[in-house]
Amino acid sequence: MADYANPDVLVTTDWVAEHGGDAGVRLLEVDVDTSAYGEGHIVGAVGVNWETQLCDQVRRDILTKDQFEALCNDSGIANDTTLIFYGDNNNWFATYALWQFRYYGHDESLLKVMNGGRQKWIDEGRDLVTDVPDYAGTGYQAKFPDDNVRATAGNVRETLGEGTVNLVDVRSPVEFSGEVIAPPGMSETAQRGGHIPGAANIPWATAVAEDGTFKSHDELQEIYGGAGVDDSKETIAYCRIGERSSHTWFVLKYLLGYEKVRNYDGSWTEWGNLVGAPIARD
Amino acid sequence: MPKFVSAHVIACMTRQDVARLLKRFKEEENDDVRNIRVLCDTLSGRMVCEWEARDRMVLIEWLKKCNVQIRGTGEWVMAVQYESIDSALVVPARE
Repeated sequence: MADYANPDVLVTTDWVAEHGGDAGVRLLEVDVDTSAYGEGHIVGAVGVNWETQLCDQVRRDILTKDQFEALCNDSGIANDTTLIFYGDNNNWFATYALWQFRYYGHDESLLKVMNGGRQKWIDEGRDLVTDVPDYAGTGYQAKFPDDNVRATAGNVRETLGEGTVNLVDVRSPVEFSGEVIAPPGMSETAQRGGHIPGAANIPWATAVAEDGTFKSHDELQEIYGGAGVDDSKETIAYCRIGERSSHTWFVLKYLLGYEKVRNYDGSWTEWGNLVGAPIARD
Repeated sequence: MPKFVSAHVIACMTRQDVARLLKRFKEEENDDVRNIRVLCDTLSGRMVCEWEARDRMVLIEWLKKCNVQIRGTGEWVMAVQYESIDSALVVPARE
């Protein structure tokens, strides 16, 4: 992990086994499969449900500042707590949660991901428990949102055609091409299929090795640099609803150290519904 | 009935999403279409389903009713002409 631009943003399963219960450290499990935490989790870990605890339940948006503060308070997270995020599906939603903590200004040096996530912990035969911890409130105070990590449709639109921003579409090739708009069984979640003009298609999972850990710095550099993602420019990542792209945001920002990377969480379900928004299908 | 296999892109569907879809398949089953099983990988966003159906078009229309579209190159329905049983290639039995 030493070759990464910010190696301290990752911790190993060994480190978590040794230090996960230390004072000032809080483990946060965020799974795609929202039943996984209840089936077993690392001792002391707080479970965060992405469907109910990481988004506003009325508007389509991430948490408000007040809601975010309440989540932290209820999870025993103080402003100086070191947070270790982990989850299933190669830390897909773990990085989405970390992105929101970064957005609301939690000290960047205290945000970390357990490399390999929940599956690596299980594969190594480590213990899981079902006890749900109860932590005292903290009176957490969020900072103002940092728009340097979050892109809006307006941000994307104003850069189109200028060549000043790398757009990275992390969906599967058939979503990128417009052949597939909505997952099976779901009503259409976008009126149109395709991608934002000028975007490079680099599926999020290309950043992950067979054992669920992140690929090496050189491999990642080859993947993103090879696809034309220029590290001297700003990069905006997007997917369908903004969670897969937070994984790529994490890779580009922390593991490769790109200076300015934003996650467009409105993603295709916003862009593909916008009247008049330009769309490519090449 | 003839057997079919279909392939789908499930994008970012969760385990719960796939379970809901499977429930829908069971609720919509009729004399013309029956789901045998579903296999999926939510990491790579792929799902393969095994079916019994009167014919291919009946299955495709039934899937549409369940909001499952067959589009492009990444999604398809294949009639099972032969299947292996105990290492022997045989014509699937029809009920």
